[in-house]
Amino acid sequence: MKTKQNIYKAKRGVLEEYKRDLKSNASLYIMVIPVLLFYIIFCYKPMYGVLMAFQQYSPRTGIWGSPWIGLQNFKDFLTSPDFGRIFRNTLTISLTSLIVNFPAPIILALLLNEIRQKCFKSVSQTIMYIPHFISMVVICGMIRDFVSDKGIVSQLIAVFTGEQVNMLNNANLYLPIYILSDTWQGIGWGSVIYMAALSGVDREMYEAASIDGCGKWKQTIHITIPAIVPTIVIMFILRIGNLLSIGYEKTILLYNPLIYEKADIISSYVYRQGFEGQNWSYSTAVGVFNSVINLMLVTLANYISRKLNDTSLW
Amino acid sequence: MMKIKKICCLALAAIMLTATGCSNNETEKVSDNQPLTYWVNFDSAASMTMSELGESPFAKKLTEETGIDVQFIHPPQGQAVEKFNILIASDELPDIIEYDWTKYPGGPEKAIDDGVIVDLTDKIKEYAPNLYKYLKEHEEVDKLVKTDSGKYFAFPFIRGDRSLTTSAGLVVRKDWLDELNIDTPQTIDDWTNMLRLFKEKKNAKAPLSVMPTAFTWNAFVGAYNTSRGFYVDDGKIKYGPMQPEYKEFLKLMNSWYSEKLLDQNFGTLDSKSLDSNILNGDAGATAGSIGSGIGRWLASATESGFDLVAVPYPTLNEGEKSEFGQIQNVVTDSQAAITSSCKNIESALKLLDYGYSDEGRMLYNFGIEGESYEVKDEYPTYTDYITKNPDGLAMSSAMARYMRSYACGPFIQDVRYMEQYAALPQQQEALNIWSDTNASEHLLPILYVKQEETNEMSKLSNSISTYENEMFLKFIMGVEPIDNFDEYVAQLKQRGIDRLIEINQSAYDRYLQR
Repeated sequence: MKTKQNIYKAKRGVLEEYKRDLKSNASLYIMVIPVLLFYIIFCYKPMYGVLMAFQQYSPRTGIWGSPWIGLQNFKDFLTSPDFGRIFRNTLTISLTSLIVNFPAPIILALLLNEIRQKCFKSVSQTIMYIPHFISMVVICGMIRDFVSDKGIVSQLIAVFTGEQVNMLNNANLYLPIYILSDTWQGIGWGSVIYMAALSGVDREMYEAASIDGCGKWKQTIHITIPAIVPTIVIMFILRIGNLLSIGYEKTILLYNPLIYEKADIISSYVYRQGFEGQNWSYSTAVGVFNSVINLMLVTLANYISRKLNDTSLW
Repeated sequence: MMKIKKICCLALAAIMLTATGCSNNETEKVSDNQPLTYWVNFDSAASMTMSELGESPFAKKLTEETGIDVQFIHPPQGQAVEKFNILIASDELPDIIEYDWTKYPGGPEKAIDDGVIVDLTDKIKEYAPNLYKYLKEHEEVDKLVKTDSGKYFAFPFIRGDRSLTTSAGLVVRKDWLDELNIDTPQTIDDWTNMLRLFKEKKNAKAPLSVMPTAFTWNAFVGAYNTSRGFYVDDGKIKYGPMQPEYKEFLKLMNSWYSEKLLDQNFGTLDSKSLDSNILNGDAGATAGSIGSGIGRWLASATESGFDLVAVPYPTLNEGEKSEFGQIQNVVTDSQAAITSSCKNIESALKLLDYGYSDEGRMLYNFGIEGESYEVKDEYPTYTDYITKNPDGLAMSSAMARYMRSYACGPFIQDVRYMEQYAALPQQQEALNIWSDTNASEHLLPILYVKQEETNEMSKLSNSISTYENEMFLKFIMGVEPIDNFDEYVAQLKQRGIDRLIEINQSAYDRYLQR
């Protein structure tokens, strides 16, 4: 088949080649159309809204009628007194989240993998998935109740400190509350992909290893982990790409002016500027800034990963 | 292949047929007497019994009286601002939009220039005689309604009496005062003593429980002759939170907070927890409004002997009058404007003008005679349907079916509405006590900022108000020592507070020239 195609390629032009390919793989191309449409309609088309960042946008006159003001919005943001703080907070929260919440599902998957009792395994997995399916608004309402001055977490902590306070009034406690509640909500769901990778590991390798005298720990180190490293790397690169794009929902549902100092992040700032202050152009500029940094980070992570271990997104 | 083509042709033909059918219908409709579309916010009181205003007896009566069909359109609750922005970006505007047009990016004059709404300046005299007459008779209202260049852009909500401009203030547990034998607090020192007694004798966990928003009503800060926001002082615009006097106020609040006289959770307090504080005896003093404050708490209290009393805005020395208090302009920020899409501007003008006529004012304020009110001794008295609703509806929800006086709209609010809405003696007394301040002398009128300045202004005020809010809580809760007040003022200046004052000042000067 392949040799035949090569002969055709040599005989006819490139265009002909494409035509032929289109014909022979028509069904595949048709199948890919909805995906392409999705990206064009929902991801690429809205991108022209980025133009707003360079304008003094007014909804009535629209993007084609609003006056252009160049990079003024970007300048305003970079020189704004809030810039340092929200950039720092965004980095702190996302890096901490990366350090804590990236390995957590991997460890959980490894632990679950060792459970031989099928029934117990699936029950505990299901229980751990559940928080993922609860709406963010509800989750945040629960968190606020738990850490309020009469909440269960505050009460537990009061056993040691003797003082029962509203924990969300203390800027220093915001980070742990944010990160640990993320762990609680996301760990079960996050482990799914690793569980899938683990199920593909050849059982015979473990048998061979145990004959060679490897204990459980050695087996994990030398068989299980190397088997899922490609998955981990891909997940890591994807995660880096989202480093600065922490969603605003959780932040605006949890924070209050008293703890802005530690809680305000780029996306919540965008939200306040855009929806509460109606500075659409400014808000867009901040969002664009965020995306550019993300793109740079993911490119960098991909490059490093390709250099180090040949696994990369592209 | 041929088969597919045939099917395609047939399908196309069918689509085209139905499409032409649709357009035929539409042209027919336009030539008919099409109802005016009216975009207006739909509040929670109204949504208790209706899904849209058009269902109400009020709307039916309005159509009956004016002979104009109206179709109401409402944004989902709490999304008015977002929906408005999407609305004005589209080309198909409803005929009438009731909204705070001063919030239109660039101001109402920009809305006229952008071709969103119609300039009413030369139409009002001829087609809206009732509004025209009222504005001619009330120059101070006229001045608030028109823009700096003298343009009329909408039909305003007018409070028909000065007493309607104040509706909130400080409230104290009357039964506690009597039991502890304390006089009504007048000065800041009285307050400190009272709160201490509440804490010690009544075991109140949060003697003073106030939501952060209530501090914009200027209780306590007014005693130091400044306010929490912009105000006018002898023709000069000032920003309260940067005045030296403001530091004294913060000191007081901080001392109350550290002494646990002020609710330890006031920074995050919501109305639900405030209610529970007051009704469970955790708080003895608060700030609230006539209806949703005093009225609701008195109605839902279960403790025997529970009673509330309104107390004056405190001062530093005995016998003074507070310079600040909660107050609103006679004309508030909701105006019904006619859009450029409106085909029948004369009907729209006639419809909106009705609220300023004698009959219209009765409908908007009291509803339908014999159903929602009866005239007793020349006084329009609400019927039991409104005051003691047989279906157990709250008064505002019952009112929502028949009138709009409980909210706002294009009409003149009648003081007799408030006399009956705030029917309890405690409420009537509150209105008198709370309005006894010099607040009206410091109140900013409705200002129209220049088009080219609005973008700058919204950026500055966003940055400043966020920072001010944050520091307000930090100073009071002691997270930031009050000695850093000077650095805080410096930071406000760095964020452009002087420029913001300047923009407001020039707008205020133009207001004086109107």
